[in-house]
Amino acid sequence: MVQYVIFIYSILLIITYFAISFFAILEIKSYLQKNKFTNYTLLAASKYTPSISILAPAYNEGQTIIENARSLLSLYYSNFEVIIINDGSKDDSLQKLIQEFELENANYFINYQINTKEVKAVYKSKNPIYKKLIVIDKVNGGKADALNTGINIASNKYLVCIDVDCVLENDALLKMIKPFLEQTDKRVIATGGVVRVANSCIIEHGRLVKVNLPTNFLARMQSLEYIRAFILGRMAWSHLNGLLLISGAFGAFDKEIVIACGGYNPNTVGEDMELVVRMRRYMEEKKEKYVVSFIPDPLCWTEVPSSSEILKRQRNRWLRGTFETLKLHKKLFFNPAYHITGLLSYPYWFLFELCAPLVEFFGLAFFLLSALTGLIEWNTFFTYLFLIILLGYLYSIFAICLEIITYNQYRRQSDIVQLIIAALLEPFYFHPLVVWSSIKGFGSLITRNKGWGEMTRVGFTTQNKTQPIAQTFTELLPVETKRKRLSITTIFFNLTASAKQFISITITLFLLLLASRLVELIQNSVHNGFSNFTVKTYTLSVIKDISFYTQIAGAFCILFFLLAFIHKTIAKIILLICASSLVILQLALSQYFLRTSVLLGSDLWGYSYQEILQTIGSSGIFNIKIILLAVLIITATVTALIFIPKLIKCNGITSYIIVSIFLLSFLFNTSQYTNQIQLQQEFSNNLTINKPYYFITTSIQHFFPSTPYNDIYADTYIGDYGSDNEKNVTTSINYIDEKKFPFLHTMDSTDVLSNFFNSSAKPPNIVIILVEGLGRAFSNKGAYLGSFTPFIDSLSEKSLYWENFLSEGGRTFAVLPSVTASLPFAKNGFCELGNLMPQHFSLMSILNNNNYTSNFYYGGNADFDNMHLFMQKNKTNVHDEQSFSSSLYKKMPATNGFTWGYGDKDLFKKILSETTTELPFIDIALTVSTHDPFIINEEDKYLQKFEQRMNELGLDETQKKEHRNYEKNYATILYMDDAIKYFFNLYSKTKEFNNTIFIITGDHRMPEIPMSSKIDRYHVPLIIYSPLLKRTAKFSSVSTHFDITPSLLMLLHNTYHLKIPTTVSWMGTGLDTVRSFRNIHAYPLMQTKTEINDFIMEDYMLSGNNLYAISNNMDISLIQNDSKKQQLNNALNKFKYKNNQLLSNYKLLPDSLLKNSN
Amino acid sequence: MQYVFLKIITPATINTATIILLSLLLILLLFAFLILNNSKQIFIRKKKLSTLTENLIAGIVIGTWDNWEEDNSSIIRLKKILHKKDARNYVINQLEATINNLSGAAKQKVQLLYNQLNLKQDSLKKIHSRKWNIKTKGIIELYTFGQTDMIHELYKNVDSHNEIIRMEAQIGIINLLGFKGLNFLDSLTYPLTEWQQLKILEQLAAHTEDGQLSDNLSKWLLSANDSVVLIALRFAEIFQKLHFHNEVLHCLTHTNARIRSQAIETLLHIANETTANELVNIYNEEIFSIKIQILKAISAIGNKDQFDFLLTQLSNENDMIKLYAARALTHCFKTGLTILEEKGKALNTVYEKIYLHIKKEMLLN
Repeated sequence: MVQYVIFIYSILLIITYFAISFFAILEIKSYLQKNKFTNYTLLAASKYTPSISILAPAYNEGQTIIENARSLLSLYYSNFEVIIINDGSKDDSLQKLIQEFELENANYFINYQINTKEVKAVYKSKNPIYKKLIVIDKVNGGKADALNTGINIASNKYLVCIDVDCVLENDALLKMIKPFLEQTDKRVIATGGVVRVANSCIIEHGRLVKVNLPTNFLARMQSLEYIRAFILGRMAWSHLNGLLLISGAFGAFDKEIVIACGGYNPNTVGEDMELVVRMRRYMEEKKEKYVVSFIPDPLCWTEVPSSSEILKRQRNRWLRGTFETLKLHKKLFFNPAYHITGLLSYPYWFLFELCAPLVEFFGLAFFLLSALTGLIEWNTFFTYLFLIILLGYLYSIFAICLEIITYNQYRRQSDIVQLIIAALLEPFYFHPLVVWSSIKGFGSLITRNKGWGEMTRVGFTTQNKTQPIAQTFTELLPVETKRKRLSITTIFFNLTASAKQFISITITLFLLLLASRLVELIQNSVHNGFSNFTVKTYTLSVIKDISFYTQIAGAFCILFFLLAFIHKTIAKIILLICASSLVILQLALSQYFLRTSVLLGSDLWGYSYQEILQTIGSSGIFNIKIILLAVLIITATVTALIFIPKLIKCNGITSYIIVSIFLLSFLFNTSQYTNQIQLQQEFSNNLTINKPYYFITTSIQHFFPSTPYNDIYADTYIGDYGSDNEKNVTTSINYIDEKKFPFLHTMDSTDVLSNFFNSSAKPPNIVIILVEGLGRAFSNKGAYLGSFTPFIDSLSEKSLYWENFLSEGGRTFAVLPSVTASLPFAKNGFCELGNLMPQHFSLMSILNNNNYTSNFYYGGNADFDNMHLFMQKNKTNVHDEQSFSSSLYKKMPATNGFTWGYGDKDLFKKILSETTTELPFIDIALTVSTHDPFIINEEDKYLQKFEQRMNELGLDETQKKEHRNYEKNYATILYMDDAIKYFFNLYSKTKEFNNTIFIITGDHRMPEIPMSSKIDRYHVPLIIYSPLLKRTAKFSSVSTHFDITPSLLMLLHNTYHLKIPTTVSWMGTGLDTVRSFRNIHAYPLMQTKTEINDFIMEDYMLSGNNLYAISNNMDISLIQNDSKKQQLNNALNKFKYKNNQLLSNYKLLPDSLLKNSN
Repeated sequence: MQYVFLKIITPATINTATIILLSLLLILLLFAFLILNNSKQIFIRKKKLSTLTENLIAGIVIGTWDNWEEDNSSIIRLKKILHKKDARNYVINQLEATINNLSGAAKQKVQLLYNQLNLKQDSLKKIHSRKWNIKTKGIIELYTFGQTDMIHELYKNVDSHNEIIRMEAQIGIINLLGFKGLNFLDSLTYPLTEWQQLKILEQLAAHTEDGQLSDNLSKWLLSANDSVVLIALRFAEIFQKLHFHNEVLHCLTHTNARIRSQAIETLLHIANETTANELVNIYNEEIFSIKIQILKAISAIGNKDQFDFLLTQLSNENDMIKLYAARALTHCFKTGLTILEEKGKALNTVYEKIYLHIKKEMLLN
């Protein structure tokens, strides 16, 4: 599961980076084109420019304060004041300022529009030259508090907040203020400017004289980082009007909005971002149109940390600032009321700025651990790592390119080379350092570590005693976001409380799941008998359950804590919904299993809504009692999940330990290990599997399918989906153009059937009877459940009979394409392609070309599984329930208004009524009576026959009792057998009978009666009966549905000279008529519409990740033979590869071939 | 054992992705160095061209160059290279940069050189371009080099849907025609941004007001386009249009708060003895920021009639109102500071602080 989270996260991140690059280009291009016509020099001196207040907080800046103040006073702009706020400096900053600028106390009356710490004095200069300068001396309160004090004093409409040690370009103020003056329909509330790295640059008298790339390694890295962040990130968000951050080092604001919002928040270390988010929120809540603008000109230069210690502290602080801001404004998260801020900007910051270090760190750790423990190969690990690094390089180099094209501050080629080298080295030192600092930032949030020294001057714990005169933002903001002290202790206790809450709900969930499992096991034992299941089965069930529960609890845990960060109640509600859904899912899936004896997996997604509705409806499970019971269970589950957790008490440490176990289970996918433990008996094995686990994992595989890949250099590679074993004939297939037509090959001319047939004067009629659910398990001699098909048994003795025959599908969807056209499966079965079904040859289409008429008979709705469309495409007349006259035929009893259609006797009656033609014909009949819900018109009669049959078979009482659990199933089998007998009796009296070949096989083995093994599902009989037969025979060699059409056509071609194509796309190579057990075929088998996990080759069957040896009675046993397993895997992958190729061009045959055949 | 997700991205996919990313990376690197190299080439070409133009420009600036015929070999060499488009653009940009710093005869000589080098054709081609940025450049060149005969080309664009074209066309007309050029305000459908208003006011600073403004100001003050009203108010303020006092007063009732605010600002500069009372009359109905503005205005233009009003405001519960009322009181009345001092002593520390603040302010100013 964790790999999917990382995968989806990575994909989103990559898409985001590409989007950022794209929008950044648009914004920069637009900005440069618009602004190249502006002469800032002329306008900066204009007396008509709006007035600006520059706010520069200073703390212990004594060494440079005079130069910095002079630099600010000499900015090229006409209307501005400079307000320096001495934030309780312990050095001589204030004295120097007083002395240098001839300051005196102005007795300033301060209007405390924003609550701040006490102001000791406000100074103005006696010298008119410095009339623009105001110096505030105040009690230390941190940067935000200092800025708020400046805002209270500022007399101008616009505020420019800067770090006092920043160096500004001459025209910086006009450029920053321009966006405010350009809008007419929206209000610009803030403008951000690019901050560049000043390390190693030459600065004289507070002016930047020469730009140099920093010589210090860390500073150079930050140069690159700043270019990337400002030129790409900020510009892209500016284009979308989604900027959440304006650097504290340099930003301009609309004073009125800043005051209305309550100014900077002194209780966060990310005050710059917090203010912008709050301003945006304020405007959104007032429903006023607004813009947060950004300009890419390099206007502000600042010195960045050149030592790793200072850098680490800075990044730690940034992380905490982001966390605090996002937490304070969690209401915005995916909140459509806040438009782009809520729907895009906030989620971006949360997922890709705040969580990125966590995902990166733990993702890498996870992969590293996986590689160390051998879960993934080292070369895979390094390949992925290289790819990720490469993506990072691409992003950085792209940013450098944009820098060169736009402002190109580092003009020397050698500087650009240095920048590129920095980009190449970044992933190996700088980036890990930054990620680690951020991780420590998270740690600081939990461990109450306040981080760097400056935090002490922020003064978290004291409040200003001065009474606020104007509104403060605490009064303006909505109640739930009112400013509150972000106590680390509170965070820790909140986290612990959340962990306890999570654990109490999860324990309840476990109890409910185990209870539901218990119900399943008891129901099963009652139904199938306790004695049939060993302690091992029950134990294994519980082990598999627990491993899955802990794993999914890990997933819930991540979801819960991420949501708890946003809102605790939402997190709890979502967890309760997930938990209830899981319990109900488990109950529903276990009931499905108990009813059908098969696991419900991704095959659900292979059916249309109508098909699911028909299946469920006709199964009769939906009745008022069931619905009431379901409502009761849902209510009980939800009630239990709400109330039981209150009774469960768990201390903090235990909670953390359990949470850690869950997370580890999730990270290491524990279920995959427990599910490797298999039982021999298929049904018992399926019983042990946790049903939601199976459903979820197969669904994931369905929606994120793997691309088959074969390592052609591996020793086990066999070139094609066959082995080099001489018995295997598949390797001899001569493919013609595998790229265009993956399955096209020359037809094998071997005719194995002619020897068994006499020839007749005219081509024989063909009647194919496909019996729903007819498995070898209960049919014919040697059936391990006893044979319940006496007529079919007797017929097989007069026929060519394959006792070890296999169907190609585990459900009905595969039977028509496989039997009548030997077609590949495509994605969800060939018929499921609908109108995209490629043109193909089939028994019907070829015989039609030889003057046959073809008919398909089905008692139900032939639209199911697209059978109607398939037959139409093969020019075959379809006779389904719509063509049955209700006066002549009687439908099977309906349950809840649903029925599958007409029973088998009616079906055969219908066939007999239609069989009057001079031309040879091929009739294909698909029966339906032996399908869930196993209700037939003469149920009582056949229930009696069932009892008789058991006696005939000599079953003892125990066996009878077991069989009676499935009496309805057996009754329908006996009914079906009787229906075939009825058909043959009547048909034998027709003139066509003597010149007809009958083929009888099952579409798959009925899964509702518990199966013994994986292969049991496919194990069906094949009977070829005809009065034309020279001799009978029983074959123990293995063949499948794929082989019927090729062999039949060769018989008709050789004996009756029917025209058949020499180039075909058959999956099968023909029936094997060797009497002893062997398998010369290498075929995939498709159990459900969404899974192709089974493959047979030689005496082996691959099912999922397990290799089985097939014995001569078609029993299978799990074996360990890695080389053989790899061979089968390769062969299966080769098939899947070809199958996927088919899906890319939907071509099986060249047009020329189709044209010729017509 | 392979993870399921590793099957999602197979080694083949990874290899393909790696090759694509590596290729992109190499392309970007190549691109970066090509751009750098190209910049270098452009720099060298410009350097060569600048040696030719520098002498000419220097001659113009110091007044030693008169006309085309009398010039020396540098003109001939310049003429030879002007068949290249980028060379012509370079020369135009050089001359444009020069002319912006010149005035009088020297400016005319640059315009003459522009004409004689037939660079106007380039500007005309640009103005007919479909690309807005090229068109804008053409407009700028035409007005920068005083091409008054092309005024109709500029007029076509004063109400263009493209903001930049529109702005430069408006500036161009004012640049060439001065106050007469403001006629476009009569029918302007788009708003004038504050930035554009700033640029227009700066352009007008180079021209002398010759009565054209007064002819139009009344209708602009009544314009349906709020931005036209705003700039008209600024015209009245800057050019001291005292006789528009009543029309400006009328703007005090405008629904747009920005217009009311600008009207107060304008009245401050064209005030008569009734203005302060008019402001007092609207005071109670106004929003907070405009109240402060009115008090500021009364501070400058108030008279004895506002004494009671100011005393009332001095007792207002809002400290900002108190401060500005106190400031107005002290500015308008000699006894104002004394009143404030007494109030400070008698009542609370707020008045005392305000008193000290204003007293110091008066000393410092």
